[in-house]
Formats: sequence, C-alpha cells, structure tokens
Amino acid sequence: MYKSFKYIAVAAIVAACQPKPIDVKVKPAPEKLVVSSSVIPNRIMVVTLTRSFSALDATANAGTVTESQLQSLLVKNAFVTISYGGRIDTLHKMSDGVYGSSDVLLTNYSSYLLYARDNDSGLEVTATTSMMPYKTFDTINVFKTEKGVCNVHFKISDDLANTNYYVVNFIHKLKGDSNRGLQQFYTNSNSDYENYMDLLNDDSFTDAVYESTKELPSVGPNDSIAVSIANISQGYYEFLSAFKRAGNFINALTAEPIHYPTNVNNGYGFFNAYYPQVRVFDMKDH
Amino acid sequence: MFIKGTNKGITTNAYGFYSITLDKGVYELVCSYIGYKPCTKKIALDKDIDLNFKLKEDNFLQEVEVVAEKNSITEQVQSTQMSAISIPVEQIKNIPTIGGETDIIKVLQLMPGIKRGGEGQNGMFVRGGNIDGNLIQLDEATVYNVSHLFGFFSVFNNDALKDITLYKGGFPAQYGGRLSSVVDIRMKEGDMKQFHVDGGIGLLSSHLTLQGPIKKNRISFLISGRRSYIDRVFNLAWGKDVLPYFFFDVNAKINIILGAKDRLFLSGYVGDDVLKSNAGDSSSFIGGGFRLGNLTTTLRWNHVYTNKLFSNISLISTRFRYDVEAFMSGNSFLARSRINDLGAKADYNYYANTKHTVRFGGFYTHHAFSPNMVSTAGEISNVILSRNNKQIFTQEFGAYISDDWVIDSLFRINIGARWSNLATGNVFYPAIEPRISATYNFAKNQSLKLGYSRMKQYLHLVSSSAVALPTDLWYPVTRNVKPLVADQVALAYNYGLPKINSLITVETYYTKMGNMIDYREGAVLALNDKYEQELVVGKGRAYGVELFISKTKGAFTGWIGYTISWSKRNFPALNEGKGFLDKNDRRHDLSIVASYELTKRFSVSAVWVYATGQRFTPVTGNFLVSNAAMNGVSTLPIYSQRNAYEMPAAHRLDISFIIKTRFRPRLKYTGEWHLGAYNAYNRAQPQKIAVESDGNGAYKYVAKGRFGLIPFVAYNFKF
Repeated sequence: MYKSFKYIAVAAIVAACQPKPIDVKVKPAPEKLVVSSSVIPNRIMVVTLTRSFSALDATANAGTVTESQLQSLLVKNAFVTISYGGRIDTLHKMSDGVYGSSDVLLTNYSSYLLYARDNDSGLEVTATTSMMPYKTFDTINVFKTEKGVCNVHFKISDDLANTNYYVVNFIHKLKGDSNRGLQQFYTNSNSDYENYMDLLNDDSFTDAVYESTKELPSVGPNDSIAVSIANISQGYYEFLSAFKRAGNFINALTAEPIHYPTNVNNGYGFFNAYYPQVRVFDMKDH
Repeated sequence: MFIKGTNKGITTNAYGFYSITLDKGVYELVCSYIGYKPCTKKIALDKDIDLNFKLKEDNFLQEVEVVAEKNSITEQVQSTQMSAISIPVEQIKNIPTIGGETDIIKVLQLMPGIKRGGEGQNGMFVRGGNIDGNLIQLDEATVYNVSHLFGFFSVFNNDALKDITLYKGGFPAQYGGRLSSVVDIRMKEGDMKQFHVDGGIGLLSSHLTLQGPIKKNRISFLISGRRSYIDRVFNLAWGKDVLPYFFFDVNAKINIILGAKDRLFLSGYVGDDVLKSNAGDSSSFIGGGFRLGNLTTTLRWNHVYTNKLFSNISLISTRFRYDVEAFMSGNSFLARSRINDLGAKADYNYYANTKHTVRFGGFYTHHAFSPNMVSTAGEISNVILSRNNKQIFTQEFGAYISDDWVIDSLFRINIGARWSNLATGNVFYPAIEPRISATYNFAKNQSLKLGYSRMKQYLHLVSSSAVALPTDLWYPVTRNVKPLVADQVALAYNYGLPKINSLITVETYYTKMGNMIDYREGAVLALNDKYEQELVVGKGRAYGVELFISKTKGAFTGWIGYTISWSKRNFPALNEGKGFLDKNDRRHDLSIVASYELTKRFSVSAVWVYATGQRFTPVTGNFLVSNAAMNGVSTLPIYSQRNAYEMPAAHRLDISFIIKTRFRPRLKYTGEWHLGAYNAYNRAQPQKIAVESDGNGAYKYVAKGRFGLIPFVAYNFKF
C-alpha cells in the first residue's frame, strides 16, 4: 500500500497545475535626474548627471547595465550652474553626462547650490552642499604578513572642533586573471576594481585618534593599491552607510526595502564637495 | 455543567474538575462537551458529594464542528469569556487542506480576526499583530517553531491532540507574554480502558498513534508519530535525491491516576525538519542542509485539596534549535542557534460559591538564548567570520489572579490582573496587566460582552521580510529593546440559537500597540548578530469588526467568518515618519466552511476563502550612482512608499469527499478515504511580485502564487 501511495503521490504532483500569474498595476517611478559629484585633482568641481529609469525598463531587467544602456542614461545636453558667495558659475560639458569647471572657487565650509536642467527632457534638480576641508593620513604604510597577505596600517587624527565624518577607500585594481571568488558577492565593487570602504565618525576615534589595520587578502605581490581618505558631510556619510549596508549583491537580495538618502531636490544621488587624499602603493615595493 | 430548570451552571477547568455549591434538594445535573453525548444525572443533595461524569462520543457528530467556546450554545452566550475559539480536534478532520492532512493552525486561519501569511503558510496575524505576537503552547510548553516545510505544515499532529483554544482578546489572567493571541493546545491523555490504533496514509506523510491502558483505570499511555516522505516521492519520480528533505514528529504522554485526589501527566514532543544533501563533504562542489525543530517536556500534577480547591503544578522544558550548514568548493558554513527554556507554573482554581470562581497562580521561566553561532572555513571565512556569541539569559516570572463573578442573572464579570516581570542582566522590567471582561445577558440567548486586556511581550522574532530564511531568530528584550505592550478593548454581541445549534457573534476591537519594533531601511538581518542596530521603534494600532456564524450539529455543519479590519504602523524612522499600513492589513477576509453528510458513509466538505491581497513595497525604478571611490557605478533601487501597494485578492476553493469503509464490528475497524483538491479552480494565491516580459518586448508586474490545483488522497483508519 505504501508503494501504491508513492505512485499516487507522484501522479498528484504531475497533475498539480501551475496557476497563471496575475497582472498587478504598479506605477513606475517617474524619471528623474541623478546627481553624483566630486572634486578631482586640480580642484575641479565635477558633476555627473544621469537619468533614473523605471523598473519596467529593459535596462532594469537586463541583469547588468551595458555600455550602450549607460550611454542612453547619461544626460548629454544639460545646463548646470553652481551658485555660491553671490556668484554663479556655469559648468561645462566635459563628456556625455559629465559637467565641470575649474572656475568654481572651493572654500572650506562654504555653501554651494547646484542647479541642473536636462534640456532634452526638461527635468530639473537643485541641491546644496558644503565644501569639506581636505583631510590627510597622519601615517599610512603597507606591509605583508608572514603568509604574504597585504595589510594597510593607517592613523588619522580628528578635528575636535567639528563633528566629522570620513570615508577611507581601499582600491585594488584587478588584473585580467584575478579570481575574486566569493568576495565579489559581498563587496560593493565593479568588475575592474575591488573596493573596500571604511566609514568613520567621531565615535570611531579614541582621544581624537583612529588607528587601524586593514587586511586585503586578495591583493597579489605584483599588484598595486590606492588608499584614499576624505572628510565628508553627514548626509553623504548616511548615504554611503546605506550603500555599504545594502548595496552589495547578497544584501540587495535579503535586505529590507530602503530609500537612499539624498540631498537632491526632485532627484536622486548626492551632491557633495570633498577633495580626497589618495596614496598609491606598489606591492612589489613592500 | 448546568442544573436543569435553573440558570445555574459552571464550566469545568481544562482537566475536567468542577465544583458547584447548591442548597439541599433534588437536582438534575447535565454535563455536556462538544463532540460527546450530554449526560444527565439526578441527585438528592443533602451533603457534599463527588460526582463524576463519563461522556461517550457522539457518533453523529462526525462533521465539521467548531464552537466559540467549549460549552453549550447558551453557556457561550452567557460566559464572560470573549474573543476565544475552541476546536475539538476530532471535529475538524474533514476540512480539506494541502496533502489531505488537516492542519489545526490552518483551521484557525479560517476564523475571523486571524489573517494568514503567504500561501500555504502557518503564520498567523491576529487582530493586526505580528507573527511573533502569538504564544503557542503544547501542554503548556512554548513551541517556538510551529511549522514544517517552511510553514506548509504545522508541527502539530492531529492524532495526538485533544483540543485547541485560541484567545485573540479578553485574555484570561493566566495567559501572557505575547501581544496578539494565545493558542493553548492539549494532547490526548490516552484511553484508560481500551487499546486503540489510529493512523493515516497521505500523499506527503503518514501517521500512526497508539494509546491504551498500561494499568487499567490507573495508567494510560499515548504515542504518536508522523513522518513525511517527500524525499522518497521525488526519489521515486526522478531516481535521485532531488529533494532530500523530510520532517518527523513524535508525541508521547503518560497519564497516571495516583489516587482520588491526585493525577500525574508526563508529556513530550519532539519534531525536526531535516534537509541533508547527499553531496557529502566539503570537497564536494555544493551541498548542505539544515535541521531545526522543537523538543518539549511537561510534567503536570493535578491535586484536589478540597472540593473547592484544585491545583495544577507543572514543570516545563522547551528546546528550540536550528542548524544550517552549507559547503561549496572548499568553503563551509555552519550556523547554529538554540533556545532552552526551563520553567514551572502553579495554577489554582478556587470555587468559592456559586457567584465566585477565583483563579490564581504563579510562573517562572528561565530562558537561555544562544543565537547565531557561526563557524566558517575556506575563503568564505574572510567575509563571514566565525563567532561563538555569548548566551543571553532572561528570567520571566510573575503571578496572577482573577475572579469570575456572577453578579446576578443578567450580569457577570471576570476581573483580574497579571503581574509579569522580566529580568535580563541588571535590567528589570516589571508590569501590571489588568484583565477585565463583562457580560450583560439582556435577552434570552443574547448578550453583550465588553473586555479590556493589557499584554506585554518580552521577546521578538527577527525575521527578514525580504526573503524567507530558516534563520529567523528569537531574541529577548534587552536594555535597549523594551518590552512590547498592547492594550485591547473589544465589544461583542452574541446571539445563540440552541435549537439549531447555531451561534452568531459580531465583535469589534481596537488595539493600541507600543514599543513595536521593525527594521530600519536596508537592514540586513540574515546572520546579523548586531541586530539591535537594525531595529527601529514605533507604535501601531489595529481595529476592525468580525462576524462569526456557526452551525455545530446536524447533517449540515460549518461556519462563516468575515473580518473587515485595519492595521496601521507609525515609525519615525520609516517611511519618512509618515504612518503606513501594515503588510498584513488585508481589508476584507472571508471564510466559508461547510460540510454535508450525504449518507452515513459519504460526506462532502468545502472551504472557500477570500482575502484582500497583502501589501508590498515594490521596486519601481533604479538609478546609477558613482561609488565613493569614483571608479565605477552601482545600480540602486527606488522603492515605493512603504506597503503602498496591494497584491491582487487571494481566493480559492478547497473540496474533499469522505468515503467511510464499511464498519467491521468483529475487528472494530473503521476506515475512511479522503479525496479532494486544494485550490480547485487553480487561481494563483498572490505570494510574491515579479517583473516579467509581457511577450511584446515590454515588461509588467505580476503576482505569482506557489500552488495551483493540487489533488489529494488520504486514507485514515482506526481500531
């Protein structure tokens, strides 16, 4: 009888039907401008503009964003200005989606108002940020452990007069034959780089000093790494915290829904102004 | 229990003890219990007497029979207890469910005020509460994991159970520790006179129960086992271990009558879900599995001190564990969690006189939580660090008292309070929880009931809403995570129709919940041992109206349950501080359960359910953003407002036909076939939202269900 039941069970599984999915009406998110910004060497204010896209867009369902899709999202015809201290500077198009100017005077803690209009779509955004002071490592050195694992030891001091937030980036340029294995699922990295990001606030410091050693196990003896530090705004710190928490592949699947913080009115992303110190190390020298 | 020709009566306690004070005289005492033939005894009372009743099963009542309380229709109308549902397990065996095996939790989900979670799942959301707001006890032992197969089966094997009572409001003072509901499940006690075998063979599992006397009229036993064979079915179909999963349960009980005034019960339950890949070891490419389940033990001693004072003393232990392991290409991962509870309860019933029945007692439970002990090896150990977290110990203790007071023939009131406490480390949370309910019998077989309860909850379930994982964990309150609190007011109108064994109840409730926890946006809960950092605190409120119409006897039986309800949340850290609807705010919920006995051997049962869809937070767009190193971009999601959308309504029809085999008097053997179908018209029960191609190059949102039509067949027997 037991065997008969097993056959009946198999027959039941075969007979079981898969119900037809039911269409659901969900209003796709309206297209908006997305802002990224930085101050690059030579103290040039650079703003990157892209457009958000609907979850029903082919781009959202392609798995990865291709170069052509990326190109289609870049804002190619925009009017971008920065207002500060009673003057307005217009940012010029440096390439598709990238607008910059070396005319913008960057003064610590000064307030900067961004205005951007996409002339093709008519979308507009504004955002305000402050220029954060330049921050440097007190000391930084790279060494290999007995097992040959790359370690970065660094020390920074806090400015006690202000509430500060810092981002420290460890960037490992991947070679063609690099095998990142499982780690790629747990880091907010792109295919050409392996990035690790530490976020610090005043609570991270002891007696105004933060000292740490970062282990980078996948860095090979012939690789090079870059380590940067920047003083960032509280808003951008919260944005990066959210990004670090939920932005990687695994966490994106398992995390609770999130609305990423933004300081962009009627848009997404973050407008900020900071100038990082970047140190580059060739592992052959260590 | 009531005195014929008067309005005097009393309800026995859970162990069948009763005491009633009467003047000298001649009386007819009627004892009734649902599913049994009423028994009447005539007595000439001139001194204190002991009077025992032995009820016989009512063979006519083989169909669906659910009542709002254990007593007669009239007693249900008149009692002070409200918002309670009691179900004799024997009476629900014909209700069709997945696999042909009746599941008591799924039957509870058909009651008004109780929302089910995803399709086929055993989660309950009672009157706007969360899934962890339900205290589920088997012979007084807390059962932390009530589901097998990720919620598709409950861990409760019907063969071993006697009855189940769910309180969703008007909580008696002896219950506490959770906000939303208490489910009190009692195992059978074993027949003291005759040996019985009950069993059944279903598509997904089989079960067998033995019970009988060890020493006639003194000691009885019951042992019941159940095992699934999904693994074997798949193996048969595909010739390999496609799904090497099974679950099992074992219930056992010994019942010892020590004397006229003393009785001892020892009961236990063990059940596990086991998934074990045969891939073997860490050198295999991929493999793993999990094992999770409960082990409970209860030792109870009933003692009758006097003919007015009864006690039940219990020693209780519970262990919940889960082990999850995985290995892939030289990497291995093992996560373990444990909860060990050890406790004692003392419960006293004092029948002072016909007007006052006092219940009082105390309780103590020592909880030991060992969450998220992780052991990893290989490359994965660089990203998931091994850790052996410290155990968390808490002590939960307190006392309670209540008085069921018959003021006059129209008014009854039950007034009480529960003093509960939780100590963890050097943090101490004391609380007083008032409980009150009153009945006004304003007309024959009609009453109004009003109740108020305060409930406290000292632990919570950390469970991802984004993905179902077997790693959901229970955590106690801490210095930072305060006890949850709920205040509920309920008002009910009851109309009994004893001549046709029917009851109509309309009940409305309002619940205010404080110190509620949710997870901050983007929280990652899986294997997170710093979960406190992911919690946010807020408040909630829920209200609604419930309608319950039942017919409990006759060839046609069944019930209609309908709820219209709202469940709202407000968390300053979520949804930009704006209030939002709870995920299980399902406005309309309707269940129709019907069973009809066509002949003595043929019956048909059907269940039709309709519920407004669950709410969800879809990804409505995406944007690209540069990472902090400015060397690449990432795609980030844009979500709608929290729970802004509603899935399509879920509705389905389940049917079953029951064919009894011919009775064989010589063997005393009865058997019955259950044939039927789950989701007979193959409608998707919306479970998750996906984006799919519409076939024309565009995309659309669709709601997917897990199961369509599933036929089932099962055979149950008894001798």
